[in-house]
Amino acid sequence: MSANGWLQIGLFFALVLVSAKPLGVYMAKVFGREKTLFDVLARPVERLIYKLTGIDEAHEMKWTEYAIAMLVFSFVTMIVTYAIERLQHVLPLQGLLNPQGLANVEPALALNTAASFTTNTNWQSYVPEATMSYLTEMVTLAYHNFASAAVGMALAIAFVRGIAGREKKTLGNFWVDTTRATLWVLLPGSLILALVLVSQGVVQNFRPYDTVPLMQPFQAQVTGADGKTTTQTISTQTIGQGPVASQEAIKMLGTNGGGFFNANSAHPFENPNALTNFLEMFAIFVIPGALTITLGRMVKSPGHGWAVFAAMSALFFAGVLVSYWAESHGNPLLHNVNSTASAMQSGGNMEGKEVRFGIANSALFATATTDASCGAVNSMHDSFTPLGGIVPLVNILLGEIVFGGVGAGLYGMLIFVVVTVFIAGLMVGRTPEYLGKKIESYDVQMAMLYVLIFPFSVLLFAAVTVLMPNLGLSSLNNSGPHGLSELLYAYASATGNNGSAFAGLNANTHWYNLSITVAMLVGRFLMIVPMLAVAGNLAQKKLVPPSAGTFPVNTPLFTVLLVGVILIVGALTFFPALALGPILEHLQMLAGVSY
Amino acid sequence: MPRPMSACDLAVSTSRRLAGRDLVMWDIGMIAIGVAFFATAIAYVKGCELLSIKEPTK
Repeated sequence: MSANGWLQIGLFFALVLVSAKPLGVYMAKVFGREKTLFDVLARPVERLIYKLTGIDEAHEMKWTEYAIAMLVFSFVTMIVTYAIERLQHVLPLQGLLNPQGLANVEPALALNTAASFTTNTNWQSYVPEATMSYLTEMVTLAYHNFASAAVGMALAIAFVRGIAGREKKTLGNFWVDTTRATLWVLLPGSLILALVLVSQGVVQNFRPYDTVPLMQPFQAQVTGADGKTTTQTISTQTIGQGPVASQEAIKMLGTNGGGFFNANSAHPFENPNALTNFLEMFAIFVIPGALTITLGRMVKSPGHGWAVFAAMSALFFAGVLVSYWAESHGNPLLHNVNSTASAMQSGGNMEGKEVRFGIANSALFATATTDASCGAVNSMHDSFTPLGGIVPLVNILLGEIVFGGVGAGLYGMLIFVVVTVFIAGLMVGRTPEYLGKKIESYDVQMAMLYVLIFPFSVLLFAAVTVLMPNLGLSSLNNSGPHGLSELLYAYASATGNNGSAFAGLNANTHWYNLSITVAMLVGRFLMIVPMLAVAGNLAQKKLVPPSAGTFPVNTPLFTVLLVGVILIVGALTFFPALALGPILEHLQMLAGVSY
Repeated sequence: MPRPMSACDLAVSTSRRLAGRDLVMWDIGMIAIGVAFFATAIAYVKGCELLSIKEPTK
């Protein structure tokens, strides 16, 4: 670890901290329909959308109506995405929007991708530049990057309204919240970021791919379509092009994470330099961080917003510390290799790292992208040391509530707040209260349903896959505990709607495509429903005046208790699986065994 | 007299022509998975709502 590395991590966090309040207050105004500077541009567009679609913006929805509107919207957009993927080779304007003549996407992969982008997961079982046409990228995948993020924000705001509501039956209007999230926050933010990225060298064009001669041709074993392997001299390279910057901006800002290229943010056309790397990491956290301040303002308890922000920050620093430490110390089995810092690399475990960014920025990126449900990567998580790799895995397994996905992180954290308040109430033997609302049995039932669906999906799919040598294990590149980590990570990433891959797993098979599809849908929609049920129930409640037994939710004690509950729930649920995966791998590495 | 083409037959033949290969059964299967999941999710909303209705006190 170096002072320079910590300085960069500190600078990153300082920027997130400084931007939280202004953006958080702005979003509170947007969703509260207060006046903002941006109204002059966005309001006419908003009115036009409602006029064309027949939406009554004054209509308020009960939680069930809100949930069904969200489900119907997601279903329709998912099916349209599937259809476009399946027909991308025969749709119009092939010369412009599919210059490489890429074929229609296979059915199971098309469904997996449609579910993946609809659920804000952006899991990619394919090589994007060899599979998706420019049309598919722009019309469906980039569209979902906006829509799924806007839906997440709308849901978080609905939950906050549930907490803030006083004897109300409604949570707002799903269509209005989604439209405002897009027009007031995501579109302007991604437009600015896309222009900055273009200025730094991220490509934005419709050109066919370039073919360039290699400076050093090399020989490689190539397997042809007939299955025969021959030795060929490789003397050219194909370099992908396309409308990358526009996709890259919303990919990070909407915590989507699906790369235009297979190498994701390690590709120089997606992430050309240290400045773009810094901005992309900042874009992951900026909205989720600010939403905590939006929470504080909307529930009229700014201290509560900051207490939640502090809990997220503590978990973030714990993750980045472990990851940075483990990667800086490298692999003890490579004691004969000189891995000390040099002008070319920052020392430690450099396998799978981009030399342009080094270990500090790889550890920070890996932590941020899994704290949030982003899933973009600038290094190969599979190549991290066991303890370095456990950090992204644990971040996902905790439910991605450390800042978290846009909106999804906040409502996930608020479910843990409800559980924390309930446990605090049990400790002192009083009816638990959260900001003046009594937490009753139905709230806790729904909160626990939310908490339990996640491990149910992750562990069930991982266990079933482990038991199937031909369908499941045959896709793994590594055996032993490392193989288990790869498999566990895949289903955690899918159910958590993260989308990053540990790698080392060929997921483009019928079993993985279909099981991961179901895991993504379960992890998104079956968790949202009980969350909205809690919100709807809270909104109906009377306000109870604070008393001596009220547990304050804006104090350091609350923050400590919240962090403790999150860690205990995560540890109790997943410790056995982690013990068989990365923890065992670490102990075996110390004993001289690797996989 | 030949049977008039139903909407389903038309959809299948059009899909076959557009997709350029005989994978329509797969497409129907994939869409059925989506429909089944979202239908279950809507039933799940109703189930969660029913749970919130308190039983009348005896």
